[in-house]
Amino acid sequence: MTESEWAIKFDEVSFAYDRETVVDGASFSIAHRDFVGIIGPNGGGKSTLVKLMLGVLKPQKGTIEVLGHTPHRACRRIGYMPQNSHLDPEFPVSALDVVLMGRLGITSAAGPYRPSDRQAAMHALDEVGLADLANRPLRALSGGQRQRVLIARALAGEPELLILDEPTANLDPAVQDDLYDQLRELNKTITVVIVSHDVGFVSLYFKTAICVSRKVHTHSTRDLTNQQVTDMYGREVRLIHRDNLETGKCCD
Amino acid sequence: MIEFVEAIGQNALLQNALLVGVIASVACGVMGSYVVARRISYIAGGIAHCTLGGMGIARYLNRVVGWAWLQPLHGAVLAAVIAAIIIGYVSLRARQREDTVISALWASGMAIGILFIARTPGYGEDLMSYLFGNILLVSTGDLYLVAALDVFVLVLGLVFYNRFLAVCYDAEFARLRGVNVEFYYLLLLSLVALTVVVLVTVVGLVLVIALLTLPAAISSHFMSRLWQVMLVAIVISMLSTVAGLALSYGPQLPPGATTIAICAGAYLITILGKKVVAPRKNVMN
Repeated sequence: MTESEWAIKFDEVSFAYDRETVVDGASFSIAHRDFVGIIGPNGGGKSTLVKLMLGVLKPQKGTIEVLGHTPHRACRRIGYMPQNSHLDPEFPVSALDVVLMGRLGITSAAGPYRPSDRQAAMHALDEVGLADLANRPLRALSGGQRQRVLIARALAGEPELLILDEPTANLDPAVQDDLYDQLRELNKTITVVIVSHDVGFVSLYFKTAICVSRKVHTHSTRDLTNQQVTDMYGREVRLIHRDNLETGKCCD
Repeated sequence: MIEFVEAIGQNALLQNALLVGVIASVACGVMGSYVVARRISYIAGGIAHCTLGGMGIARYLNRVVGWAWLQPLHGAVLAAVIAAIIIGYVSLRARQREDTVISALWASGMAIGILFIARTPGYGEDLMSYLFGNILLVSTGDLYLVAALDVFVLVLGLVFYNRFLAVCYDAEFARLRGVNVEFYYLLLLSLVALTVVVLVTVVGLVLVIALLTLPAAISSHFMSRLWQVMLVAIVISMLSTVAGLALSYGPQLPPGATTIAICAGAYLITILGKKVVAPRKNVMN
């Protein structure tokens, strides 16, 4: 299989729920091993954009290519972490049970998981720093730990592309920084796409920002200006650039 | 109790009843745990009540039309699986109308059953035994059918354990991993349907939901992985059915209702016990 030019390529993609257009003529490309933040106001279409990438939703117009294929064919090569909120926290599973679900599509079609699946799942748990808690029941874990279990589940399938929807939603700032360090490490070999509401910190973490509010624009985070983000959100938003943070001043 | 122990040796019907209770508990523990974990006891309730339609029609064909080979339990199997697939399909396709459709099927299934039973001679006693079970009247033919269903449910329930677990926990993620979520969900509901039929012989269709869910609900208070919940639920279910038979035998109480009363009591004690223990646990956190 020849490697495709882009990890993700949208060409004139539009999507509407009933009559309400959520994504309008989006065209952009994400390079391999890019570190992408999808940012934008609530209801602006961030999650819709992700669902289009995964093939969960089909665009009414335009074409989407992921890892050189249709999203539907590529989805097993994507590691996906959904928002935690729709999952039952009381569900009777251990952390390892959940992470092993990331091996479906790789493991045998029926019967128990293989030893190689367990190794991969343990490795993924180790990468998010939860190897010690592998056998801990899910309901005994904190919100932040559960979040990391879901990230490990996304990693367990040894993906070429990692898509995380609001991975830092339940994390305190210190854990958040650790997580981004780990993701940067992973980013040396795979493409990482993150939906984030922490717009201010966008350029600290990401190489590229995809700004979504019906229209979709991509920017290198180095060039992203306060004005562009403010226009998108319809209110004053301050961007914090890495250089500014290091020198101790905020950009104005 | 002593009468019960003495009777086991001589009474073939009682032996059948005990055997059915123990066999049924296995499927009950396994599938009940899926039902409780996925929170679909309402769906299981709908399926259970639809079996009356199948039993009523089968009994009509047997007695009035003269299809001697067709037993009410065969009709129950068919009706349960059809109901499972319709309800499953609706719950996959039309989430917002799910409860309405299940309620409609629930009542229509019963209505059809009652109409056919009314048109068949011998109205009263059979209807009562379908509704509330009569484990002491289980024929050897029923016993074989129950055993066969039990093995079938158990094998599929365990072979596809990982898939069922993933579909129950996070169907969207499972779909992205290439799992055919619709297929496994409908298969799971069909196995629940077969389990319901097995349990109808034990406690009757009105009480099925309690026997299906209470042992698993008690078990999931103590166990935190699904296979553990299943094992303990099987044990609780076996203890309840055997105790139900034993306690009801002497005073000639209905065994099905006695079994459910024991389950419900155990569940109540579990919840109250947790309430007493829980505050201490919170301090620890």
